[in-house]
Amino acid sequence: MLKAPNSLAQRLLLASLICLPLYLAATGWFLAQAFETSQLDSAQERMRVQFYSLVGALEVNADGVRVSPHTGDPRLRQLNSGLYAVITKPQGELLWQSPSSEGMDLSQNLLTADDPPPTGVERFQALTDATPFLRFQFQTTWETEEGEDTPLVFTILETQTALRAELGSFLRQLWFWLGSAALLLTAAQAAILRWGLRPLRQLALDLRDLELGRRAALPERYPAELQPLATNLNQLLMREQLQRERYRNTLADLAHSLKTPLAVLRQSVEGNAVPERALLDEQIGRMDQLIGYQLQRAVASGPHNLQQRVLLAPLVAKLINSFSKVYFDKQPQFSVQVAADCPCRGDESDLLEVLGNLLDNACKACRKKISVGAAAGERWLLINVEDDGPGVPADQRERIQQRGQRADSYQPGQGIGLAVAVDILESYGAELDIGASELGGARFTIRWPAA
Amino acid sequence: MRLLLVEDESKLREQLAQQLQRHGYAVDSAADGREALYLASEFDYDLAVIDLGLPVVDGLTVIRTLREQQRRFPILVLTARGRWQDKVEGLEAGGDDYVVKPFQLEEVLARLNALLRRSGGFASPVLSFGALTIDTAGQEVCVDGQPVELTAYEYKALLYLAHRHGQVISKTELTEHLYDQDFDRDSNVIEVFIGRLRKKLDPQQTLKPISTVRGRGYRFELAGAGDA
Repeated sequence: MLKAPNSLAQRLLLASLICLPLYLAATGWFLAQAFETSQLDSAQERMRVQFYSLVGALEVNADGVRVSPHTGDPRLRQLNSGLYAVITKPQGELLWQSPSSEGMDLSQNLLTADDPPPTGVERFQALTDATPFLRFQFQTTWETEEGEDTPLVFTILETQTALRAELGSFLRQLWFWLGSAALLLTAAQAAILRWGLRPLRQLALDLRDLELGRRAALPERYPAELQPLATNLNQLLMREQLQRERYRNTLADLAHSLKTPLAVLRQSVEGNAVPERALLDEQIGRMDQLIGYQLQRAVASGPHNLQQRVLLAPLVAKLINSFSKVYFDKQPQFSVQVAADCPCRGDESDLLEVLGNLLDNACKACRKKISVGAAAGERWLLINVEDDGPGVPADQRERIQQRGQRADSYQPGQGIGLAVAVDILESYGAELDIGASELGGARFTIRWPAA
Repeated sequence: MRLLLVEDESKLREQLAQQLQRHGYAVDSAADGREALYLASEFDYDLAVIDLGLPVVDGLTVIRTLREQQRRFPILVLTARGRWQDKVEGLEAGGDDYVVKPFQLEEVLARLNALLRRSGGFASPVLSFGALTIDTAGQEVCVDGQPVELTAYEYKALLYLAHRHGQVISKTELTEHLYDQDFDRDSNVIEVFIGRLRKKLDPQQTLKPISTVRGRGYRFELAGAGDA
């Protein structure tokens, strides 16, 4: 089996190269048939006229059959003119022949290869013998001057040379024009394909440039069918680049910040002293926090255009279910005001991380009550997490969510949860606002760009 | 307290098992999910510590399967991934609490204590039975306000009985929940052991917290049983 070509242009061209000749050949065949039929029809008409003029000039008496010499087509009187007329009896006996046919072998074959047609019925045939003739035959009963009925068979023969010549010239012309049309159409098709597929070729070239690093993004100049592809590809590229940058920064930060606790550890083992457990604990805890913070920041998915909407309510329900287990002893009372169909555009895992960290803080801080609420506005989705704990003093609200704080400046025991949450929020263009709650404790408000 | 420990990292598993044993747990270890499910189907556990990233059958599936099989013992989830999504998944599957690696042993022990207490139906870390109080957070037992020195095994035995106060616990059950699989069950160690525990708790034999039910086992019973 042939393999389908691996190019759109080749496929389209191949398809039209197969279909076009088939279509043109069928058209040619029908036209040739129609032309031949009409030629035969007009030949029959002509011969019928010859027959009628013969009949008009005919005299039949006891002596035989006589035709006035100057009637009908002049070709009948010219030897070997190609038009011949013969009158016979039904049995084949020759009664009269046109001067043109004298000396011709009017063998029985030619005249009555088969029985003459029944009386009163016209028969027209294109013979296909060695010398092809058009043959027109008619049998009639003639009343002689003496009042006798004599059956007569008229046979008119005409060579097909002229007909064939005409047909041949028609066919030659026909095929010439159809062939030209085929060539022209194929050329036009190729040109159309080339033109139509040019944006695809351009896209391929642009992609190659992208690959070689000659350009950073695809240009915004494709036809409507391709533009979304290019736009999405650009977004994907940008995202990928951001991610790469984030990984690079993370690794750099991580490498840098791990060096401090490592230095402390190295110094403490120098001089063969076994370091104190408290010091070991502290430095290990610090390294663990650094790794946790940096890596969680790096795996945060961040926003992208292909992101689906996540329903907030089931997410909150899941978290509350989990926190009820983790804080079993404390048994915080959760009150949730989140509409069942409240959507949020973002990565589910990122949302879980942000809300998980805020709720975890609330569970730690609260005395008994925690409230989670969401209100969807036109531009922002506001999510509130409140508790009835001691709250965050006004002068510390800024500090605990300070951005760009170096990871290695975290104090032992200080959680990384809020820092991770702030980082994720920032990547979505969301904001965190810390205030006082009516419950008596802290209120954390997320302003998330509306879905 | 019989504990099922499922962790694929052999070094961590051995260390953790040793330390848990030192703190009075009878520990069965499994290195993968299939082994864990087999052990859970064969033995009766009071607790399980299950790592999420396991070979053959992963931790989440193990926890889900156990819960589907109506195994209700508390499960502490160990996870190397600290994202809330991973923690929530473990808890939704049927875990009761989680600890993120790397962890400190004290934290694991504290969580296990809390889980045990919860499964015994006590909300407060201090269990109080009249003159006798058990502080599960500090692992301290007091009679009439005076601390009583108990070994880790004695403490676990008392805790096991106290969690099931009023119920008769057979010697076999007590043995199974206190000692490892290879413990010699024919010995009368348990009787000696309970005798010693009685002497330490009640030298004057006035409280009689642990009574012997002939032919059936032991029963812990003290007036004023309940939370502190």
